[in-house]
Amino acid sequence: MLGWLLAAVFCLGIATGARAQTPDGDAAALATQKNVLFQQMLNDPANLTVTFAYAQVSARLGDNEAAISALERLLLFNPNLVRADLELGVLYYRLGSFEAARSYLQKAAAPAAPADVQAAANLYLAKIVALDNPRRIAGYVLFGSQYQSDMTVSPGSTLIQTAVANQLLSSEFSRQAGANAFATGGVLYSYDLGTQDRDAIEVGAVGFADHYFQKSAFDLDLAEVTVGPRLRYPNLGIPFVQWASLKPYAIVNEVGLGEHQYFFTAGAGLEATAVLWGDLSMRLAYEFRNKNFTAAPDRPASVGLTGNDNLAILALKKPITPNSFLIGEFDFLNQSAHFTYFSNNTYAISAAYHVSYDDPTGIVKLPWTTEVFASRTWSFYDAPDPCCDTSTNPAIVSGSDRFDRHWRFGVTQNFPVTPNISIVLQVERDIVSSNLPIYGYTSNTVLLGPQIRF
Amino acid sequence: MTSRIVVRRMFFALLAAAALAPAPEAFAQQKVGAATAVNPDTNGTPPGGIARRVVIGQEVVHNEQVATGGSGQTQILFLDQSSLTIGPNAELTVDDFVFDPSTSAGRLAMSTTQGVLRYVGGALSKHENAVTLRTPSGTLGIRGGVFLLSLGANGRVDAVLLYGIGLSVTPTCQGCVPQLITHPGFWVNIAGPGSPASSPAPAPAGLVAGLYNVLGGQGNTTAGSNHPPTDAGFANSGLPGTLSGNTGGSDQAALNTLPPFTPPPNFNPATIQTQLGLTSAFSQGHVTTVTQQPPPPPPRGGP
Repeated sequence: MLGWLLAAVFCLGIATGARAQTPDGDAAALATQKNVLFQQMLNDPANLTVTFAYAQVSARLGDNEAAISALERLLLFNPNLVRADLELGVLYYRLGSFEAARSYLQKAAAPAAPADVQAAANLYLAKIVALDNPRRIAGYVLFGSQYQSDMTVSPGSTLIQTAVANQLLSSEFSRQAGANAFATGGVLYSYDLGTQDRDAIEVGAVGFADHYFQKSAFDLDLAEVTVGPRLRYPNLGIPFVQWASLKPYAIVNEVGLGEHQYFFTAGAGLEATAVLWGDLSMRLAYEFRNKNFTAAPDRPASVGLTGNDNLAILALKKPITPNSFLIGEFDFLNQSAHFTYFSNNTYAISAAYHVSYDDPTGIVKLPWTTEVFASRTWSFYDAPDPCCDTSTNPAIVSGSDRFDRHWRFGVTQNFPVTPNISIVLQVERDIVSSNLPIYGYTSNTVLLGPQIRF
Repeated sequence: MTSRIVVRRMFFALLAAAALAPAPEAFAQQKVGAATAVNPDTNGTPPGGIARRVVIGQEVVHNEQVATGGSGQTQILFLDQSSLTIGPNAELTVDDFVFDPSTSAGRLAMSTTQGVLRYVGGALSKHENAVTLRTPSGTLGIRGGVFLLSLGANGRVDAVLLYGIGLSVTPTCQGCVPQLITHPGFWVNIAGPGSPASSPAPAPAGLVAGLYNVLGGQGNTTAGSNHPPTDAGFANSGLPGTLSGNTGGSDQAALNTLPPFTPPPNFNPATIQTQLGLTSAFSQGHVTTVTQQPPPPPPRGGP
């Protein structure tokens, strides 16, 4: 626990330090300076020194409109001022007004302009092409190796003590440490439908595959695709709500375990997102999944997991400092399985603190990121599990409804190598306790591998 | 109280009221801003006054009508730090301007009969319904931003939102539906007085660039500046370092104007087994041997 506290203090220290490094200093002082310069400009509009200073202070304050007013006046004074064309193009680019930005930047990119102006204008024109494209895509690929102190997610001992008898597990399913090689990736593709509200079609895909060096029965493969329109509501008329959107979507996936199919899913979801009070990102989602499991020789009961999942998610993300943010999530999952003792209601809360900071080694000079995360899950099952006789009376055989609690702690550290490639190191500890001892386990995981983002 | 005292008190009360009330002329001459760039052939007519040639730095007053000729252009800088650039052959009247610097609240109402205009917002446009521009064919209302207007002599309106929360376009015809532009680069047009407004749509290719050409400087004119800026002076101003040179800051600002686009979160290989229910799936394989009791320990010192 002390280690976690030290990690949290370390992260908070980094975040606090970054706050003190705000490049523009005191915004209030800049605003005062801007107002003084405005009065001077109003009295002496042709004064270039004052006009440049006003535009500069306005841009530093993020008041791009004020800077635009000043520079567009300079173009009336000198219509051939290609550097003003360039900077106006950049100001409109910053406002997301790409058509206006393009009209200025194309003038700045003309052959008659100085080479440095042309180069900068062409750079920003290329950025506009990328951002103004109706197709957007983002994703990542992560691969590497993972060590688990309990790869079989089984209890630590083969001897399970119950109230009336002790049970001996097959050694095949007792705790075993192991390592795997894995590859995972995710991608989100969006196509802007060209409506004023920026409605879009979104296709998301996630893939995962691992191979255990010691036990191929635990090899997992997963592929999931979601598709749906994202409908945006930029003008809900609620002052503290921005970027509201609603996305109904379809879900399909296929999962393999060992040499066999594990299950496949067909389902649907509805997601609402919004930014509240300027910087609190909210995601509220409901998903229905119909999962169809298949049995295998080493897991004959897995077919009993076939059934429906109803999942509700509330996720919140809020910046704490300019270089850090906090994520909180609450999940409720109702699983209705063919074997009622697999049916359950699960509640989970999780939190993560993400911070980026300067490379302390100074070698790569790209920001490192650290994420500290923790979660707590409670699962209440619907019917007595036949796995275990928990009766206190030796003459009676009876089971109990399973009740699991799960703690998860971890740290993920990113060491960037290039702006898009980093080395990921993750350390995690999972502690599952259950009233039915065969479901309890503790596992420590260390994961290392390169990640590519695009 | 005698009638004489009553009359005297009424007299002083009226005198005080007259002293406190603003004279109509004083209100009418209230400064709303200044002409900060003027290409010749631009005239201003204050209320009740005669037309005067507008020069750079000249005050623009409440209810003043500004008109440009074929080569005239001007930029009006308002006291709330917003600006209006007026192209050639245009006419504009500042009908109402109220601005309280301490609260940044107030209103700006303008009207025009023709010409090309570009409004760049200041403090007032941050408030809803605070800035309006009336034309014979409809009224525009801007919230937090920048827009372009082309108003033909026949009353045709082409209005483009360049930046901001929204640009409303309300046609003058009875029963016509107002339109709200919320997407930068989208446009609405009205064919003329009495016509409805079109639905917002991407501005036709070349419209924005064409209107900017009308509003840009002309040839070798200097809009009243005796020492117009040069590229060398601009390069040394420090602005390129703050703006075009700061590509990271520019990119971040531009991205913030787009809808959030969040790539899928990392799939955590360490939690997938729990997520996929492996403990349950394998549970029936667990209990392969059941003993009622552990085997008893061998007896000590047996035979």
